[in-house]
Amino acid sequence: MATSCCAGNQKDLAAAMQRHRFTTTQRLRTFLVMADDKTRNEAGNIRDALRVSQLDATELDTQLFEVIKAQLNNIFTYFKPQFLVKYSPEINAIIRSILWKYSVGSDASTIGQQLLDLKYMNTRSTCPDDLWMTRRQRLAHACLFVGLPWLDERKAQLKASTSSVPHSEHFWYAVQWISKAVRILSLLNFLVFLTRGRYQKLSERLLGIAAVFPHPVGSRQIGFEYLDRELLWHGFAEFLFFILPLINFRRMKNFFSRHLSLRSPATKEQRSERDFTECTVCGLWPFNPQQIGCKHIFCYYCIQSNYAADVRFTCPECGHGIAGADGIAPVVLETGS
Amino acid sequence: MSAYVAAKQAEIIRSHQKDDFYTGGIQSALSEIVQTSFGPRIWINWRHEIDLLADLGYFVLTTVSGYQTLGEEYVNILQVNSSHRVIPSRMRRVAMVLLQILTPYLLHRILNWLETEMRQNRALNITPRGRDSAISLIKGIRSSLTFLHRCHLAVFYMSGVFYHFSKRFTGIHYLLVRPGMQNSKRPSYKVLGWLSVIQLSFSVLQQAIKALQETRKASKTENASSVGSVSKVSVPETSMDPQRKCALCLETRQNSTATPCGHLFCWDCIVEWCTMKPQCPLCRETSELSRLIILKNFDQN
Repeated sequence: MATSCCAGNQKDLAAAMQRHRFTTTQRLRTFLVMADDKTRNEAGNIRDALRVSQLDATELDTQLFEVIKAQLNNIFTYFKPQFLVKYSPEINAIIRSILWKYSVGSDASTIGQQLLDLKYMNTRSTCPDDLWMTRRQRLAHACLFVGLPWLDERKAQLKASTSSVPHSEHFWYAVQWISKAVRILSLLNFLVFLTRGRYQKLSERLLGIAAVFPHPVGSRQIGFEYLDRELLWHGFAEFLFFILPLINFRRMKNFFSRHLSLRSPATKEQRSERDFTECTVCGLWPFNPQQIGCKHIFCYYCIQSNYAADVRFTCPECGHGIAGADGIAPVVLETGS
Repeated sequence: MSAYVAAKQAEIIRSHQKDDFYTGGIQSALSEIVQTSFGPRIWINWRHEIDLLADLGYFVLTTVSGYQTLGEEYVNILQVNSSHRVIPSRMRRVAMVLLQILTPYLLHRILNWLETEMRQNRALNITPRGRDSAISLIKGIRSSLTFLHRCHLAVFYMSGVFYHFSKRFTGIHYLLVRPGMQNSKRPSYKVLGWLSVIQLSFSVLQQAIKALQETRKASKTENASSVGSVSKVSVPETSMDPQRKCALCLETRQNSTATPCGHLFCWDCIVEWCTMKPQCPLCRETSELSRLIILKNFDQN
């Protein structure tokens, strides 16, 4: 329910848009929001499709093709690898023609468009009762949708096989130039599409078909859960990665073990033969054995790395401290003891 | 209650992501055309300009000529000026687009040019010391730019307006045009903003401490420069014995060290390797850092 204040805002905004000549899509877009009947054209409820909807439909179509192709590849996993590669242009053409048969061929809209509730309209139609694609347009669409990609993928082989035919090189030279021109034209077409909102693909412009909303649609709802989650988690993860190296876990662990555990001091004289066989930190045979004044023995690496991380490191067994860097000394066996 | 509410962070970010996607598409199409028509060499020389042209084309045909960009259309948002009632004037939009696209490009270009000029141009009359400080100044400007950008992003997360600097300078806000749908509860982006602020202030602190230590160290070494530093013993290349080669640095071993599996490397090389991955680089036997044995009285003949 719109209050009077709200209506005032709408008028302001509408006036602003008129002032700045907001044409086609944006005006349509905003008027759709205002549920203004004037935007419906003479054919009733049909409106030009949003640009993003058209682009999304194309994206869905390519994704669908990829999915089918991947499944087919899965089926032929255990066949000779050359088989699929050799006939891949033909297989692609078959997939495309099946897709075409059950989408544009029967329903005048691609699968992606059906998902987004779009339909192709014949823009060259003069009769207001028959707006949809004619039979001829559908067949031409099939040629462009199935035939051209096949030709493009088969180009190299065809070129090689027709090399003996006279003047064939001129033909292939022309084909090369045409494909270059098509590339440039489709980029230009996309730029025009940005402002006009019609004919997203060059083939659509050529055939005179435009994607429209056949029924009135409500405004699009977009889920932001993924975006929110992604951004938040990304932020948290980055923060953690930044913070974690700044925390000295060894020092914290040493601090707690110093203050929480009960330990009895053990002097060098109490050293038994078993103590020589085990590093107190890693529990393995001590490599390059070192001592810090108590009866326990450490690997050189174990004691030095712990001392480097925390100068107040104490022996984990008996709590004997290290008296400076000189407190760590190699174990020297006293002969005769 | 107004039907139009200011767009939230999520919509603005999503719209920019979409715009980036589509400009990327145009950029790659244009690059491909240039590559096939003029060759890869020209493309490499001009690729920044090509990307710039693609971006300019996209925004001139959308924002400047008075349409929503594709991203804005996707999330139903509209550019308005600070009054939240009027579409920004054309001048404002032109200024915004130019600022958004040209500024990063020009900054990049100018800094690169200055750096190469400093490094290579011998005609410039500066001492090597002045040159070094100029180069480090350029580096500092670069890192402070990214820092500034991140600060701005943190502010955006908290306030929800002005995703880009260009929008802030030109005062362009976003309005959500979705009738009858109130925003459902969404996680607040303020948390993200605070996290970034904490992280940024920490990194500033870290940098400051590092700089302080460095200046202290520099003054100390200047005082003690007469003592002379210990340099690594250089081994003449000609006397290189394949038996004494370290497989990691491919030079003669310094301080030979054995892994538990018996392979020999320099101490520095193998320790660096094992901190990354506790495995012998030659046979992949596990070799914890504590299990490395330095061989004493081995390197001498």
